[in-house]
Amino acid sequence: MKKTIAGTHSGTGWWLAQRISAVILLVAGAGLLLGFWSAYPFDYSQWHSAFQQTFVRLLVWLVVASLCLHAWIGLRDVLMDYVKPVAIRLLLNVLLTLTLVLCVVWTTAILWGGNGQANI
Amino acid sequence: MSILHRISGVFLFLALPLGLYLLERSLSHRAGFEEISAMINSPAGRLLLLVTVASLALHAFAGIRHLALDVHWGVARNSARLSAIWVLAAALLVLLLAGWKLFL
Repeated sequence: MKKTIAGTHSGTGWWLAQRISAVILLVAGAGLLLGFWSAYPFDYSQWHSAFQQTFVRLLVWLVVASLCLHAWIGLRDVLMDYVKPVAIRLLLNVLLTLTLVLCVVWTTAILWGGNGQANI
Repeated sequence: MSILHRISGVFLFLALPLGLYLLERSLSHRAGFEEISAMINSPAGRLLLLVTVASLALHAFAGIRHLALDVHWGVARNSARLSAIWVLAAALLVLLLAGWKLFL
């Protein structure tokens, strides 16, 4: 009965998810950054209308969601390596998961929640 | 190399909620956008942006190297060492360019 809690570490599924999300971040993330960088400097109207486009919203959502999955797997590995007491590690794992799920929900709300529809 | 990958990764994770806050506020209304612009343009904002850009570059370059090693590309000791140096050099270059753009 020793340390079976770390069992998910060996999962090749997560290993693969980490790589796939990394590639998505490299391609989509770099594309997004280059897109905004090339448009810089922009004012509120341009910034706001960019986020009215479904394509931009989907791309941003894809990047943030991939980032959260990527961070979840990565941070879990970090916790597993540096936080030895099981109770504390479990607690931090729960906090990590909660934070990242909230980040995805928050992003969805920002992008589709009707925030700033008035464009004023 | 891998410790830098981890430190930059943890930092980027911490920066994510802040980034989402900036996105939400900047999209909420014109005043919010101006407020966020001023915040990013302040000396502290620029410094934080510089650290974030450098972390992102380091993490991305180290990640590309990691992916290459995964498919057994450049795993020989010498080439692995050389690519590690290239990763650090490229990240340093991004840091210097961003610092130059942001502060000079």
